[in-house]
Amino acid sequence: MKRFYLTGAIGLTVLFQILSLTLVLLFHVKELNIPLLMFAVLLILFTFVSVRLVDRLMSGDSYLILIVNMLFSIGVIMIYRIKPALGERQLLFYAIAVVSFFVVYILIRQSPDFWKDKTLFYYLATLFLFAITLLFGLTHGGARNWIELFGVQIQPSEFAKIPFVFFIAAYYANAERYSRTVLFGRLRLGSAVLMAATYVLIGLFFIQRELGTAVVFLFVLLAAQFAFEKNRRLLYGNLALAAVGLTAGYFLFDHVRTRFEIWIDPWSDIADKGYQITQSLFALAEGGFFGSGIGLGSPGLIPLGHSDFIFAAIVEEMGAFMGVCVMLLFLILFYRGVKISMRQSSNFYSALALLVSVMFAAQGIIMFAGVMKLIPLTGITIPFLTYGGSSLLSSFILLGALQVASEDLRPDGEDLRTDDEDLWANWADEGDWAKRSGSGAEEVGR
Amino acid sequence: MIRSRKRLAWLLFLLMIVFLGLILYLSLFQLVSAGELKENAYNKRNWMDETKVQRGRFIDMQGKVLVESQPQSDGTNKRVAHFPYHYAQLIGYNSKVYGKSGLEAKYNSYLLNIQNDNLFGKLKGNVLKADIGNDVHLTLNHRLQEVAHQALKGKRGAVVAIEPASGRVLALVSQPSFNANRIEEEWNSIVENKNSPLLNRPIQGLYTPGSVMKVLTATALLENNVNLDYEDKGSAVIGGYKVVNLNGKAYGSIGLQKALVHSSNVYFAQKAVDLGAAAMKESAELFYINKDIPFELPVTKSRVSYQAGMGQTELAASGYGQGESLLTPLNLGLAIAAVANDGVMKQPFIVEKVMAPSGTVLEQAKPKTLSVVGSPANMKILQAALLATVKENRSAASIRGHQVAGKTGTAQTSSGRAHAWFIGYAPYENPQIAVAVIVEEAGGSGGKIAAPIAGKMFNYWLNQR
Repeated sequence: MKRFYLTGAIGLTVLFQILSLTLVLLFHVKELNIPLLMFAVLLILFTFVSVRLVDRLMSGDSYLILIVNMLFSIGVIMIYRIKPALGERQLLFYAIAVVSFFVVYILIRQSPDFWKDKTLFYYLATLFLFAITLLFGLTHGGARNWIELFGVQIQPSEFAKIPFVFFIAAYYANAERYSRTVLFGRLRLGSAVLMAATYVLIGLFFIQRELGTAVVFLFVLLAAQFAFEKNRRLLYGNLALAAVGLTAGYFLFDHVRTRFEIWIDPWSDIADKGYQITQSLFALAEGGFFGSGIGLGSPGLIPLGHSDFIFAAIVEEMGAFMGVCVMLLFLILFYRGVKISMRQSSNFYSALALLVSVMFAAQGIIMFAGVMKLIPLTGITIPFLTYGGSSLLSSFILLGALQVASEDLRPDGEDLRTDDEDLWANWADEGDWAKRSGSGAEEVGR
Repeated sequence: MIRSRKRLAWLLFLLMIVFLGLILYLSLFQLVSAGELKENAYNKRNWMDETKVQRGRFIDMQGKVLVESQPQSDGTNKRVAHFPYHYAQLIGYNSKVYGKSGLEAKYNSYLLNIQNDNLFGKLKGNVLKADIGNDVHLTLNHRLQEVAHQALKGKRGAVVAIEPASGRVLALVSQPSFNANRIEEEWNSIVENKNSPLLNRPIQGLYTPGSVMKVLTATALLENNVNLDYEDKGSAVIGGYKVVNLNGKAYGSIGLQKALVHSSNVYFAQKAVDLGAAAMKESAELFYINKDIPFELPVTKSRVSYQAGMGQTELAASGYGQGESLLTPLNLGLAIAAVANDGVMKQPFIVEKVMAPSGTVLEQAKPKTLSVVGSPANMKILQAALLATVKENRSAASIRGHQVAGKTGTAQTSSGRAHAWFIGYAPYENPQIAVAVIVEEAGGSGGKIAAPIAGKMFNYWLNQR
């Protein structure tokens, strides 16, 4: 039965790709050439092969890569429709990213225990990635977040997400040990220190005008505290601190205040500051529920329609229903991440699974809500959807880690508390890991 | 580290709520605010067709291009009205900031060649994009429009010229006007101008008709076989209110023709009362008073309130065009055209046809009859009376070589300055043009101010064309 679902889902993805690619190719029919057809064939091939490979070679959750491929397909088709050259590049990034996904999977899978206690290394790596932006960064779109390496533009803040998630996960996996470690005098290495260390990162991004990344980091920290922290007061304290920090940011930084003002009333300065968000709203409105159809709308009018505002472009041409589908794909991805976290016996990989999922979901939520003017807009990437090699690569690396976490690993937990096991036991055990339940018939079927 | 499935489940639950909220918000957005946003003037999508398609032209009956789009060096098209003041209200403006008005708005789909009528047509239009829009050919004659436009220059007023046999509108002039090419630059001064240049006076202006209304009352009297003889003593008390002729002049024993020639107020006041409100109302409605006149652009409804049991004073006043009566110039133009056309009132129209660049005619107007206001026999009587009215008063509407029939009016207004009216047609035997002229608060009589304008138009149309 599970096999049937997976095959069906792959079939639907390929069907979607064929239909939408046909429309995109028709739209660019005047420029139709061999590379263009290659683009279409490669996209379908990559998707199909990556899902089949994961399904054949790995014992974990085969749906993760499938969901991600669906999101990527929607995104890259939209990017291609708006700017064919960028679409081709995005497909190249995707190929690199998928390879990285397998490499990361193998790296971590070979020695899962190696990765679970390098807390300080992860933190320093995050700091390092921040520092090189600060030192060699190029300003782009109001944020100084690019560096150039061998002629390739890289966004280190995208990669900083990887060590950051590992850092928080490693901290909580080893929290009991750390809480016994004395730093100086009476100061112990506890969750308060973790919070302080995280706030240093958040603060640095904040100053660097990467508000979006700062908020995503904050989300991840809050989720970690919510899920794994013994001391509830820390979570409440952190929430209060976040509120104070945002308020202070509003009064201290002009660029924060400007964003709020644009959010409250983009129409009074529509030609300049309010331009982006109002164009986004026009695109959303133009799409309606069913969209104008691929090639029949004007997503080219949206500034950054291929990156920050890709959600608006998708809704304009594919409709609000596709927008809902994209959001549901993110929700399903998050749901599977939570399930993996529940099932995983290794503390580190359980925490990692949850935090990677939170990272994906938080980025999605911030951009969906921002583009719809539900919250003030901060420009970040939507994993797997927006144009950009850095974002795609870092997201696929995190997905590789999540893929490892979805497999059975040796428990490393020192304190496996199961205070509410009975309540959720049934719910979690109705898992659909076909291979775990190990039905003989399916083994034969393969 | 705490391993709690409950906490994880709560986290999942929280995010599900958030995603659900986003989905609901997107749906509500589509249902509630999307419609308004689509129409927003800043939404460039509304102008995409404009830049891609060369908007169609407006062309007069002789093939003269009135408005066209000229391709610019930057690939866009610029809308150019060649006579920006002549058709500013009628053809209207086409502005990215202030939208579209007049026929530019009404024929937008044709001009841009957008088939919006069904989903298939819309899709087809999107896929097979046409580069050139369709041309709108008007029934107007630019030269005649020019005569009226110049004659009204510096005044406030309106001119309507109609071909009686068909209902074709030959000229439709509104003054004061504005420059349709400079709508964006001059918007504020246009809007703030207390003379309302944006108002399309011939179809939207409501005016007290004064004595020109007597033509309509005469039709009602003839059609209802009212005794047309009357002893005019210069004034009469009707319903407790004293009606007087101009300068209190008494004309003695008169019939319908003399009453029209001398424009006797007393005569038409008394005869309207004799006829009664019901019959007056019936006749007025044949003239499309209190009814919507079908036309390419919305026409304000003319109002004369005939109610059963209405006061005799009000009924008497309506008989000679005073009191609460308010008519549009187009309505009066139609009325005189109907009289000229032996009682058959044709539906007015200003768009002759819409033609695709290939020459295919997409829409062709056909003359239609709106109503029959009177029998041919009665209309002959009225026509003779109107001919006598122009002749015996040596009206300025008279022209060389052709006989003109018509009636002047000098309508009293609350401001104290009278509106000058003339409605008439020519030639008498074979009417080719019917005209209604009004000059607002002219400070002179219809005979002095409005009739000469009509005369110029008759002269151009019949002698100089």
